[in-house]
This record gives sequence, C-alpha cells and structure tokens, in this order.
Amino acid sequence: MEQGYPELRIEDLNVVYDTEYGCVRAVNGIDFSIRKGRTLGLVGETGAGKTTTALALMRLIPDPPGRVTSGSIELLGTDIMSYSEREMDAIRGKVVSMIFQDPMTSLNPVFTVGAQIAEAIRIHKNLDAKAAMDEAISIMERVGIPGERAKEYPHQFSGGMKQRVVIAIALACTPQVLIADEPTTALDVTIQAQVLMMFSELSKASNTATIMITHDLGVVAEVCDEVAIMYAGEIVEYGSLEDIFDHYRHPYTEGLFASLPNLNDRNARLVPIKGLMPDPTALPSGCHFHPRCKYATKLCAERAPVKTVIEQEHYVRCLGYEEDAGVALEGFGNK
Amino acid sequence: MKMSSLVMQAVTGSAPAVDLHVYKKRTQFGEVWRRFRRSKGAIVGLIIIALMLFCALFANFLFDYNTEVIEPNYDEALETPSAKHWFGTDEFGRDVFARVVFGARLSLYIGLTSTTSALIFGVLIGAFSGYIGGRFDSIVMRVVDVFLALPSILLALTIVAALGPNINNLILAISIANIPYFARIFRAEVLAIKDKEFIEASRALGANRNTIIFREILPNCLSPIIVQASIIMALAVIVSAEFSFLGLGVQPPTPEWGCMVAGARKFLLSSPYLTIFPGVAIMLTVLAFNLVGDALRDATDPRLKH
Amino acid sequence: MSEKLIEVKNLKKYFGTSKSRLHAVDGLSFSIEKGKILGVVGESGCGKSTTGRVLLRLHEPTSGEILFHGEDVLAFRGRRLKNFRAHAQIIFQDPYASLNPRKTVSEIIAEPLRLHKAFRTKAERHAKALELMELVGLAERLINTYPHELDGGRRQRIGIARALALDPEFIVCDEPVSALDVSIQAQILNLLQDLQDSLGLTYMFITHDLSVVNYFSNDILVMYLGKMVEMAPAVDLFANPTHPYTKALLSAIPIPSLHGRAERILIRGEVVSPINPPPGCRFLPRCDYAMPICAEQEPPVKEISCGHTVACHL
Repeated sequence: MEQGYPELRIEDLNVVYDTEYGCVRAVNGIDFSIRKGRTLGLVGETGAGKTTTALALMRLIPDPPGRVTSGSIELLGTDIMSYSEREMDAIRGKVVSMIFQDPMTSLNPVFTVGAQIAEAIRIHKNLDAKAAMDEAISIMERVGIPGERAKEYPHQFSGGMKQRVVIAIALACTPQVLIADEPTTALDVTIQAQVLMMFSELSKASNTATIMITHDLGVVAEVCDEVAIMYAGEIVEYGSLEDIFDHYRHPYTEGLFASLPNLNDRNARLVPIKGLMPDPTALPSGCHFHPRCKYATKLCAERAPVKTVIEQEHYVRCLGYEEDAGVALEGFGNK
Repeated sequence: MKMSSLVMQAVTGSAPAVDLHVYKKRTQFGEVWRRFRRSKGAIVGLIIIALMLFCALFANFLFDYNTEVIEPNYDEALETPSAKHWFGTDEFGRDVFARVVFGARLSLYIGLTSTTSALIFGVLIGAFSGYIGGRFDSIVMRVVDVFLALPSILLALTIVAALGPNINNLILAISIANIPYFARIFRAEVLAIKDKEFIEASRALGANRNTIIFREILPNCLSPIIVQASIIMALAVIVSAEFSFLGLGVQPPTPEWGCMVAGARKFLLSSPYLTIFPGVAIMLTVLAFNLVGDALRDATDPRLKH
Repeated sequence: MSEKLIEVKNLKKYFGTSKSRLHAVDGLSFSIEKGKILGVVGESGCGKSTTGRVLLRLHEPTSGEILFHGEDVLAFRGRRLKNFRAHAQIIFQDPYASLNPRKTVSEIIAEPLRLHKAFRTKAERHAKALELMELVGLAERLINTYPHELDGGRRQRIGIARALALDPEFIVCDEPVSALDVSIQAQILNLLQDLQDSLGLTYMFITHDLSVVNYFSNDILVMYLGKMVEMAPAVDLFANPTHPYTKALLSAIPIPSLHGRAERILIRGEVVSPINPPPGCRFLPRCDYAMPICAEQEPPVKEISCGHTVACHL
C-alpha cells in the first residue's frame, strides 16, 4: 500500500499547566502521525488531555498558565514550534483548522452566517467581498445548507445547522489538517448521524487529514481509521480501527468497552472501571492507570510502562506486554 | 474543577469508621478571605475600620463624655494642636480629638443601623418580588423604580424635613432611601437562581416558599449583598455628615463630624484644624468602606476564581 | 398482573400564551407498574423532561389525569402534596446545577429529612445521612465537603442519596448519566439498578440514549414533539421497531463495534418547532413514508401486539 508522507507528525509532546494547586501535567509524551485522507480518533474521558493536545497542535495553549515543555509538532514537514506568532496566524484556518464542541458559542451572533464564512475565506485568500461570498455559499451547499440561508443569523439556525456552519468555516480554506473537538456531542442522535455522514464524506473527498476528538466509541467506529486511546495525558493504546475494536490489549481500553451498554445483550451487566480519573497534579507513580486497573500488581505502581509494539502500528503502554516485567493480565478479554 | 479534591482516592464502597471532626468544612468565607487579603487597599481599609471600631467601642474609656466632649471650657478655647490637645480645641474649649473619637461612634452607629435596616427590608422586598414574580413583581418593582427615580438625597431630605431633624429620623431617612437599591440587587439574584435545578430539587422534596428563599437562595447571594452593604455604609456616613452639616441631622453639641465641620466654618481661616480633623475623619471612613467594598467585589467575583 | 403505580391519562402541558402555544406534552397516556422501569426516549425538545416534572407536580399540567396508587395526584394539596413528594422523587441530569453550592454533602442529603421532620434531632438526621451515603457509595470522609470540590460521578451520587432519603417508591431519573464520562456512567447505572433491585423502586428513566434505556428498562416509550410515537416492551421495541421515527432513531445510534452494523436509515431535516403545531402527524415533514392522510389526521394509536402500541397511519 502506498503510504503518503504524514501531514502531521507529533513527537514526545509534553504540556503542563501551572496552577495554584500545583503543576498539572496535561499531556505527557504523546506521539502520533497522521496521513492525508485519514482520520485519527483521539478517545478518552474528561481530563485525559485530548483537548489540550488539539490546542497544542494549533499552538493555542493559553500561556500562562499552559506551557509546551518539550516535543515537536511537524506540520507538512516543518516544526511549527519554531514559527513566529505571525507565521502561525497564516497557518491557522488555512493549513490547520479546528471545530469546537459547542456550535452555540463558536459563532458570532451579530453577523450573518454567510458573512462569517466569507470572512474566514478572506483572511487567507485575496478575494473581494463578492467572490468570497460566492465561495461561502458554495461551501454552505457542500455541507448541506441551502445557499439562500447565507443571509440569516446564527440564532435562526438549529443546533445541527449551526454545527454545519462551523464545519463550513473550518473547511473554508480546504485545510490539510482538520481537528474536530467533539463536533457532535451537543447534537441529537438523528442529527449527529446526519452530521457525521456529511463530515466523513467531505474529509474523504477533500483528502484532509482529520483528528477526531471524542469520548464516544460509537462515533469512532463510524468515522475513524486509526484510534489513539488516551489516559492521563498519555496514549495508552494505539492502532487501526480493527486493532482497537477487535484486538484491544490495554486494560483501560477493555474497561471502556465493558462500561458501554451492549445493544445486543441487554442482560449483560455493565462492568465499570473502578475509581476515578487521577488528580493531574499528582499522577499515580508507575503506570498512571494502576490504581484503577484490575490486573495491577506491585510492579505497576513502581515502573512506568513503555511502548510495546503488538504488530505494525498497534502499540500499547502496559507492563503486561513487557516481557521482562512478568506482569500477567490474567483473564484479560473474558467478560 | 478542583484538582485537589480528586487526590482523594476513589471509593465506591464504604470508608472505614473515622473521626468525622477531621473533615472540616472549608467555607466560602475562607476562600474569599484568601483572595481579599491580596488587595493592599482592602487591608488599609480594614485597618481604618478596625481603628474606628476601637474608638467607637472604647470612647468612654478614653474620654469623659460630659466634661471633655460636651461642656464648654472657655479657658482653653481655640487652642492649636498640642501634646495636651492633639487636635486642638474648638471655640468652646472642647478637645477636638475627643469629639472626633466620639464622632466615630455616632457615624458608625448611624451607618450600621441605617444600612442594616435598608438591607433587611430591601432583601425581603426583592426576595418575594423576584420569587413570586408575575403581576406582584411588576407592581412592587414599579414602586421601587419610582423610589429609584427620585434622587435619594432629595428623598431623605423630604423625610427629615417632614419628621423633624434628629438622629432617629436621619437613620430612617437614610435607610428608606437605600431600600430600593438592595431590593433591586437581591431581586436580580433571586431571578438568576430560582430556575436552577437545585431549587427544583428542593421543591420536589416538599420545601415551601420561605424555606426555598431563605435556606436555598439567600446563602447563594450573600456576596453581592455584602458588597452593596459596604458601599451603602460609606454612603450613609457621607449623607449623615451632609445632613448634620445642613442642620437637618444630628444637632449640636452632639459630636457628629458633619456637625463639627459646620460649626468650624466660622474659623476656617483662623483655625483650619477645626475643619480639617473631622473632615479627614469623614474622608478616611468613606475611603475605608469603599476600599473594602471594592476588594470584596473582586474577591467574590466567581469569574476570578482560580 | 401487578399493580399500576403511576397512571397517566391524556396528559397535556402547553407553555406560553394562547397565541403562541408551545405544545411540550400533547396527549400522553401511559402507566408504570410497581417495581418496573419505563424508559422514555426522545430528542431534545420532545417533552420528555417536562413529562417527568409534570408527573411530580413541579409543573402543573394544562389538562389530563395523573394517578398515583389510583389517587388523583392533581387534587393533592398541602399536607397530601408534601406526603406525595416523599413518595415520588427526582434525580436530575446536571449534577452541577442540581446541588446547592453553599451546602455541604451532609446538609444536602439531610435536607429532605429536616423538611419532613423525619427525625427529631440533628444527630439522628446526621446518622441517617451517613447511612444514605454508604448506600450510594460515598465515602464518609466527604461528609463536610462542598459539591464543587467533587467530581460529576460523586455529585450524582449525592443527588441519588437525597432522592432516596425519604424512602420513595417512585423516582423520575431525568438523564442521570448523560453528563458523565463512560466509565463513571456505568458505575452510576449499576448503582441505580442495584438500588432498584434492593429497594423495589419504580423508575421513569428519561434519556436520549437508546443504548442506556435498552439496558435498563422493562418498557420503552418513544416520544416525538410531545406525543407518543411508539411504546413497547424493550425487547419488542428493539426487535421489531414499527414507527418510522423509532426505526431511524435506532439506526442512528453509533454502535461501538465493527460488526453487525445495519444499513443506516438517515432521516432528513430537523425537529420542527413545537409552537402551534399543524394538525396531522408531527413527524410528517421528516417521514419517508408520508401519505396524504398524514397531513390531515392525527395518527391513531394502534396496538400491534401485546403491550406494543404505535401511533402511525401505516
């Protein structure tokens, strides 16, 4: 299979926030890369560091209190950490775009939606107002909004329609990389289905590299090609859709799946992951997941797991797969 | 989200029996105080208020009210400040320092009583008006609007002019003039809170109107009320001085600051210290309450948390 | 056949003025048997939360009948109403907004006990609060903490403990897990189920998440714009969805698995405004099977098999 050069490659990204309660280690040594036309799902619960990762990719981490302490973010082969603020402005929206979770607050209520999309186009393209508006209308039609609604204001749109507008703005300059932060969480299921369908068709058609941040494994199964499971600022398991859904190896991934109600077996009791997300100012020693892991041994509290490659791209961060650790995941995979 | 709370280990079962006194309440007050302390102005204000309070409480131990503050002593009339009389003496030979100290008592008394009564009535009006809503609310708020439309000084002047100039009428006038402000603020707070789910939860548990207003809503709007109270307090001190200066409030020879300034006008050029000391006392008091009020507003602003 | 705990007949709740009426709930009838769980599903604005609140008399219905143990709930006044409140409780969606931020955990849990004078002394109430905390899995050391110091899962446990304080028979669960992370969601769902088993509770479980109701309910009521579109035992509804909306809703659930995905039935358009709805079927503008009659007449409620009713002209 012909594999293109990655559009985006992240290596050893670390982000901390200095708060009055201490230093919050939000992202701890993440690396992944993403190719043209592929969609990577970034999955995790509240506080896993998904959104921080996304903001770091846009260089939008509020500083202070946030700081990218180390790591490189290579966009189209160049490290964006070396760019100046002005260079970043030229990139944001044009090369990398972001879609935020809440469509209600990401549109400006006093401008028409057409004007807002046209504005996004004019920032990066040297077009006059008329040409930009024409282009805005054609983008609106691509995301499934009738062109004549360009003159309407955001409050005249329903939640699903607003999210389409937000997507239209993000796609306005045909970015190479698109980051979508829980784009359908605020929508109803039937609307979510519509938006997801449109979203994946569009990103396939325009060959965009997409990062889909979500907590919903159902959404991941629908639109993603690769999946990264995040926990406490680390990627604990990474692999193709099939690797993660059918051959998951990490106890946390197993826990996530077991927590979901199964539509086909309504009598199966849910098996929640015990406990809560750890305090990010004082992450547990060793493997950050060990206090909640049902397979944890004494060693898990002492030794931090490293990446263990299962096959090809599929890797996992768990002592159970490190040969010299002698940690056995007894009964793994038995429901 | 509070990060520190998440340190506590997740427990889905029951915890071992432990002494419950260990789990101290961490009050909102503590949090506000922590942020309040950061403001230097607030600390200065607080020190001034503490000094005033000290003067007000212990004036009797420092000076004898009758001989030093009220009775004339013409032998020592119009003396300049000295070691014996720190702030000098007035035209009746009374010690100005002693009179300023006793004035603190009066100013604080007038300020506190008028603010407190305005607060109580304002909060009651605002609470019921906001919670009951509908036509009742419209009527009450129109009345409040009428009062707000009148300049409060004019309103207070009318009340004092009608009832006669003395301390009690002055307090009454100041508090009536300020009730609408408290009513307005508290009503807005009630409106913001009354549709929250925890109020609905309380109704679902069978709580009645008064329980909801006083046990659920009131504790949630203490901060704007306290902030407003400190500002009204400063205002009350000014107004009481103004009125006494105009002869509509406290009457001589009672040592009220405004009254003292009025009496000292004749000697403004020859003995300026007679006007300066009570004037400075008024200024410092007002400044102190305003400083504290500002700092409280900042410290209780939820947007500034963390 | 066991006793009907709650029976609702032709319930209507309109908001607003006579000119522009928002038909939040429009002619809803159902009943819940004692010890059973009724799942109420629908998208935002379908009137499911309003139904729950009307049932508990937190909103007064425009018309209709609500029977609790065969007694007319709408006739309850004063003491009777307060007494009813002890028997029927609610758990809210948002564990952040539903707890008074100025009260400690024990004060919140003991509040219903105080209101209903269930115990004479503060110490007794305190002991009962501790007992409730243990029941819902809250550590004793959290007793004097404030809600904002706790995470969503723990706050939801506080809300559950408060609802259980007066030993209710019936609890309206209004999207109790939709604000929580999946792993915590499962913890709370298990807790609610254990409590139902051990205390014999009856739930009305309101949610937008069909996979949750499937796991949880005996019967499922699907609502669309204030009306019942389909009601059936959970197994039946999933095996044999009949109404076009139910079918679309079922197929729209993103399934966290790569196998056994059915072809998706996408429905076009969006939920129309519930203000002054036109006559005929409410789902008409989005329905692929619309017929002329759908625009003229309101669809009749048909029973297609035992306990499975559907409102559709098809």
